[in-house]
Amino acid sequence: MNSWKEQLSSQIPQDWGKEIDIFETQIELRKRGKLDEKIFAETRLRRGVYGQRYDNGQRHDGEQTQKLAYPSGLLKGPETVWDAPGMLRIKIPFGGVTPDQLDVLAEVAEEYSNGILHVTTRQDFQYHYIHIEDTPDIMRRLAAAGITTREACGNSVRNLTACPKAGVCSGEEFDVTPYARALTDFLLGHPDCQDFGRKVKIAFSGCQGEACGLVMMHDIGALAVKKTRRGKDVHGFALYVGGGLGTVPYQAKLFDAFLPPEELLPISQAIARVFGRLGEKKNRAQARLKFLVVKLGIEEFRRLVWEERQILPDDPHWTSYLDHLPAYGETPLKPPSPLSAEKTLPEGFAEWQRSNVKAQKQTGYAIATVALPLGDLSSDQTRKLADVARRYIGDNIRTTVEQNFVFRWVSEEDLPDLYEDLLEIGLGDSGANTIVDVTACPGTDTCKLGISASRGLAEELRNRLAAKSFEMDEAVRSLRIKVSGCFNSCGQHHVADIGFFGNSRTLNGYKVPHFQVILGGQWAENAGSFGMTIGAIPSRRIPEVVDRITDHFVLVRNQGENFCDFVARIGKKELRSLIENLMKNAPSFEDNPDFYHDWGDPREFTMLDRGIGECAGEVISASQFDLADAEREVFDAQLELEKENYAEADALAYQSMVGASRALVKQQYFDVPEPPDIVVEEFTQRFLDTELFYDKYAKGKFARYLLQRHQQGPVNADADSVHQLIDQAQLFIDAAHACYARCAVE
Amino acid sequence: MEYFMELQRLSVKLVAESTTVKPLELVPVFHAWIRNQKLKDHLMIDVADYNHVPEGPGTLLVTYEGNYSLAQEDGKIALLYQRKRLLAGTLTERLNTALKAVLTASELLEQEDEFRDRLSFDRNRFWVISNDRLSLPNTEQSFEELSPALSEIATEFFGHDNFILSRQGGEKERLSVLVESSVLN
Repeated sequence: MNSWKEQLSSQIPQDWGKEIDIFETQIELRKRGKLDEKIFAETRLRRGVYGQRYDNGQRHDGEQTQKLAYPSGLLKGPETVWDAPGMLRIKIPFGGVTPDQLDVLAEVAEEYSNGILHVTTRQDFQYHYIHIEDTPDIMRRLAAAGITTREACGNSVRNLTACPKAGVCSGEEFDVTPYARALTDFLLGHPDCQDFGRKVKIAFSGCQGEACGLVMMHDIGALAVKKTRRGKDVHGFALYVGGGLGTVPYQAKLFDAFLPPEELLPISQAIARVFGRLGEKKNRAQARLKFLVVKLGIEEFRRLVWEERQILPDDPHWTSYLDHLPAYGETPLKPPSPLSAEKTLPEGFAEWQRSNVKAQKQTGYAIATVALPLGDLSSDQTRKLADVARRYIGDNIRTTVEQNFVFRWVSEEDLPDLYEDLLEIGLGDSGANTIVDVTACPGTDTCKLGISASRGLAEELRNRLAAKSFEMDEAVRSLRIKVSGCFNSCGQHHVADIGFFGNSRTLNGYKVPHFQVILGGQWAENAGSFGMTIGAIPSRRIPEVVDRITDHFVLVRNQGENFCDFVARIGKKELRSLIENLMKNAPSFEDNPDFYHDWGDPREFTMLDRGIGECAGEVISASQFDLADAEREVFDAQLELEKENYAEADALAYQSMVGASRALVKQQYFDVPEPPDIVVEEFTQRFLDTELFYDKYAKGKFARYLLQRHQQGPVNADADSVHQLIDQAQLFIDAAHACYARCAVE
Repeated sequence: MEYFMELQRLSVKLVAESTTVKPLELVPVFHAWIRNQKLKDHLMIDVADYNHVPEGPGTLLVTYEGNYSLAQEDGKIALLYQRKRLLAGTLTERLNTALKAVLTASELLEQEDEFRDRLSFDRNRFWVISNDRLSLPNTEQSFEELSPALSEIATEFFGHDNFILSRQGGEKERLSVLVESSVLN
């Protein structure tokens, strides 16, 4: 066997394998020009295949913009060149990952990418510099390890995040993991989640007070709540909706103070349906759920969702997972054991323990954070980390939104050995969960929308802060710094104590990279409040900003006052006055050319490399996707005909016509069931009898191809008959496209 | 058709010993290569800095055809060429193309003003890495299958019977073959 498809066929879940095969065909169709560029763009985004900087075919080299002469000239989306390497995002629901999965992730990174795994601020992994033709095999290898890229990007339900300490945290109400898993599985590929104007992000948190779940900045946030009824604990969720960061951040609003678990899935489905139906589709800047909640008001939104909930057809998936809850739990690899006072501790261990280790609620166990600089680790490190996990904790690894890993269920006795093993592979840095542990989005390194070098700045700050972390005031040490390369907030700067987002200013006739300074965001309380904008500072002066702000905090803060309260107390004016002179007096280019370069980039700064972002995806309706599927099926029918598989070719051609007609019916009757008898009947009533499907000259001729095949069954199993049917199917699909376009105009 | 003959994704590595050059110094150099179109047979796209990652790719020159990286490795500096797009020709020809790519880059680096007298690659040995666990996993059989093609290249490079091939890398790592001159050993 010399294809991953053959090699792994028995290990890949059947439906996942089929979806990947379909995507491979869609790639082929696009290469042949048989799939619309925008539909393909949204299709690949929903498979996690994302664009990357310079994929518009040009790059500024510091002196001029150079054309990048990619060979094929084909596009994989608007202004996105086919041959340009891109990014692949991999969903890791609630950050849960096993050593075996890490092994596969490492292999894929070195064979197809650059040998780097990047952990994102939403617990995903990302690969960069991937060629699109390699993606189906990558997906197969990941799928065989139980990992999907489906709906990692595009207008879909993105990775569902959760507190990485869920199940082991002493402050939680209960373990949200099984609920997060159930909702992930339920919504993945759900028909009601295919017609959004923008993405939907969901998060779970086990408690209100800490940050981990960041519920308040998500489209849908579920906060664990416990009640006592008749002397027994009853689990539920405080459900929040309409939160989000982006250019203008919104705090989520309370939808329900105590949603019972049996309503978690159906209410989420109802929210998806209301958002799909009423959410903005044209103005992309207003299309997130948060805008719909504001537009309708939370009361009306809640009413509509509950109204929708009442008419949802029952689905056994809503509650079937609840039967398995009592059996859910993680198995520690080792028995609990306290850290012996007699044990000789390695150098640096005390510092690492102080910042990176927390006690679990289960006595004798600890949670250890593996700090990743900029969220990156190499394939070699990943494999070795997987082996370290196998030695100490087994499968109990999670990624975090602070771009780290946590090891759960570490027997306390093993902590010194674990530390030494992590040091050995370059992953023993202390300073996790402190000001040194700076979070950053990819920024200008790889993002098409990046303005400033967020990673370059983060690395500079990390190095400087690490160097003085030993002498740092404890109040400063516990602060969080987060950096975004632009205003879109992927670095989550709004909820950091000290946040930055990239922008630019023109000084002395040159573009100069800047960062806007945001102070006083609240990381705790599930991202309970957002920071205030203080002013834009040249990028090279940001380290000085951090020094001045933190020094002032130490100097004037009240006893026990946290940074958030300090910022609110002293106010924007005083804070700005601390850094105002850094906004002025730019050196001349001749005196200090570095001032005009961004961190880590020796080119003179420019905004010319920005491209069209793909975060917003393309607005493609469910009907358009169904029509594209019909195109693919008729293409597959041709392939089967070539292989003389007449029965398969006949079935596919027929299926493509039914699919195309269902696409049209869906416009009027979204929940039309799938059985062909119903689809054809509905199509006949709604489109044929009404003459909506009529072609100006051919009238209802093309519809009769469908009706004839539906009524008469399979055609003769010979080349001519099947060929004729395939031709008819193609004509029917063309007519369906024309009908869809006419209806859309009307 | 024997699968190993289809090997396309492959890497070739050279090392430089006793150099004071740090991979981070390559960032402006690779940017200048892009500006000046230094590699004629590669479409150069960007430079990426991964020097914060131990055992990572160090400084990376991303091209359409494949990536070049210069990284610290076991106290030395390693220049790696990772081919990502299809190569024409037989397996031997493809291996040769990849080897030439890394040799060309190594010569260009040695000629850079800031590296003159500071950087010298050891051309008595190079590593060929199968970047494809399906076609050529890290097994003794794969090593034997790849050896004839490698021997052809090594013969051309070091002379007849003047070389040694040895399989390297652990079970989970990619197949890596060290090709080194036997004359100087």
